Amino acid sequence: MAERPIISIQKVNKYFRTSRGVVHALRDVSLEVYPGEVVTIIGPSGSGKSTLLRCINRLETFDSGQIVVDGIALDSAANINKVRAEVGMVFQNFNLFPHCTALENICLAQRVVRRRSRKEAAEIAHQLLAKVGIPEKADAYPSQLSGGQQQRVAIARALAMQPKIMLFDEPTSALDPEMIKEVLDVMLDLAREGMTMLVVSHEMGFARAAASRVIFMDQGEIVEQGDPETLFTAPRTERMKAFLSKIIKH
Amino acid sequence: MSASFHQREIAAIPVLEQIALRVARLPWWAIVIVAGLAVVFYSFFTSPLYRRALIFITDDPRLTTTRFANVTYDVRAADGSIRRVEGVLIGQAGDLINIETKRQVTIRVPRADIATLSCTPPAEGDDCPVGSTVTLLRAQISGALIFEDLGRFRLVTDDGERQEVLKFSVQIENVVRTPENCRPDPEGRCRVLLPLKPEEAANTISGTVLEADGTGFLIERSPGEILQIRQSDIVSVVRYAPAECALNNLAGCDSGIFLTLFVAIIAFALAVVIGLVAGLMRISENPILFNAATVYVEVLRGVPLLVTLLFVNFALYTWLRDEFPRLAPTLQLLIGGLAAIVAIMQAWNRRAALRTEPAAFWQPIITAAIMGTALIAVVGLFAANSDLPPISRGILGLAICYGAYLAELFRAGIQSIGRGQMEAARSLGMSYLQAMRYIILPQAFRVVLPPLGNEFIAMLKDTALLTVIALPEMTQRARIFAADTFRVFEPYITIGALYLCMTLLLSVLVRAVERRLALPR
Repeated sequence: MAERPIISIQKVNKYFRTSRGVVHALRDVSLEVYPGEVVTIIGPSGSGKSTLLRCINRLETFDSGQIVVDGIALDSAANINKVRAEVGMVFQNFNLFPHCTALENICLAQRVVRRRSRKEAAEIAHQLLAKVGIPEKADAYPSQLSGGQQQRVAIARALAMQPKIMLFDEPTSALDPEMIKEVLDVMLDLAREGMTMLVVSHEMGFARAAASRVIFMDQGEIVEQGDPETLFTAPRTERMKAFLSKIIKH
Repeated sequence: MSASFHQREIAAIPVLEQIALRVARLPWWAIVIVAGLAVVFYSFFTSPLYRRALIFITDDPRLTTTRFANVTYDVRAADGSIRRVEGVLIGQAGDLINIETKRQVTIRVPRADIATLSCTPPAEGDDCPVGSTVTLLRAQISGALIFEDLGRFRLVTDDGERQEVLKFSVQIENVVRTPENCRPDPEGRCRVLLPLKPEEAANTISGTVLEADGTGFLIERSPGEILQIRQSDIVSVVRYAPAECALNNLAGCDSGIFLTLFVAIIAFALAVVIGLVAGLMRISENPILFNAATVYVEVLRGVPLLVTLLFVNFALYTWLRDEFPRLAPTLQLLIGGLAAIVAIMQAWNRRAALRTEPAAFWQPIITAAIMGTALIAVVGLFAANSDLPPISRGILGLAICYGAYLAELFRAGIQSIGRGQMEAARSLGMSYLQAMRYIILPQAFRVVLPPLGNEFIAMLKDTALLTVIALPEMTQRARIFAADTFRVFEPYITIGALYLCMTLLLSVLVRAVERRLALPR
């Protein structure tokens, strides 16, 4: 691709300092994501996938290296709120605001951050709720929604900011099996529309159907990457093989 | 159709039976409380003593306007001469008025200060022997000025006596200060000479000479006595000053149940502000903010409320009055400097943003300027009004104590909201303060509302402690009533019932608000 990468990660290191010692969470991670790409990150738990994702919108800080998102370097001088408004994030636990209805969840940041009028924000919210397939749930509180519906509201909430990049941090792992599909369908639609997406997920089906690239991380490093078909059928490294065999066993 | 039938059926039950059904559903403790309150309230209607206690405690405004006013009357005596009576109005029954005259046992007057002097029996020359009765007009008074406000000077004379001089009795335009224009100073570095107005009755001193020597006289003024005068004998009212709120003049304050509620509401509002700020500081990652808040919370929680109240009312109050006004300019300068440093540091950190995003560059600087100005104004306000009245001292004491309790409450409430909420809000591009304002605090408020209501109820009850600083709230009024009448049951049962009514009403109110704010489950 001749285009400039929209996310550029260069030799990023990250340490977690705990009372028991120091954990090297990211080791010299370098990664470039181009506009329109759908990148799926897989790997065993504790491999640093979520940490990497959270570094991209500075929910975590990193110790060395450089991350440039949409032309803005994430250092102390960066206006991080501006970067975050361009980078949508979907969490494993949905993190919907429980004191707001689905509609208010989607409208709040539009009004506070994007300074849209109440009417304009509500219009966008209704469109997005229709897009994720739950237009009738606008006035429901998160506690009145199923897990799948909550996650779809969370996706709509992130999309309402009209981000250039969407980050998904294990969006389906807190869901009951029968709800996973409704969330993945929304994500597939999004991928088809050309959204740049970084997805931490173990949904092989989604990776096969939508991912332009799959990245395998282990112990804080990027071990292997490539297109999903070759990576899943013909892994080159032992670590990837071991990981795949564990997943496929059950 | 069926609904209306249903309603008609319920309406058909006799009213009394409905009430009986409701009562039967109440828990037994509620019945005991309601029955107890009913007995007390019945007593208010039937027993005159209970009714008097209720009126006295909840405050009869008539008590505050006539009693304890400072008055000066010109009164016609039996022989037709007119004499001046000055004192405190302490009672009135029909035409008869009781006035307690000023009580000052001895006063030392230097000869240099005396304008005219006369004694009985008349003495040779212009000297008055020990034991004679003297009337003198004082021309001036001098000494070290230690305090001054709009109405009075307080000074220490060369004989070491503290004297208070009201400004209206002084020829204020002829006051001499050495050094020139000096301010009151507890160390005695500001000397003043106050020329007194000869026509002012306060400057005529009469009494018995106890000592007389070359330098001056020690005079025993007539000790305070209660004069009974007839209203019809009053020729003119020279001065009638309704009682002012002061420690030695309690009835001047609005008192009773209103004072209790007023103090509780104002102190709690202040405590919520203090608690919120301190609570946010307690979760701050800035070590200075965190440690400052922790010291405040731990100290105030570890010291009994009563001790804090006494400290604020006596120690802190005296310091604020005597020392703080001198320190204030330095403090203001310090705050201004600090705000400037913060603004400059912020500007340096964000200098890159100046061209791309001027708003992000200016916002922290404007915030620092506003905060600095506000703090300087608060210090100035405190310095200008450093002689706090008792009610302010009470409110301040309660507020800083409960601020510490509420800080922990708010901290726990905010921390009970999962980290994910803050992350979700920040990931949408909200700033920390926006996330707090729109996401965290609305949720934390629902969590802390029930304990917050409990704290308010606790504070309402703790206003009773203000009786130790002689604030005439309900408890103090009850104690005064008990002392006046030698009745102890009536006043204390009355305030008990009143406190109970207020707290029960409040807990019902808190529960109602809680239900309204509850989210669907």
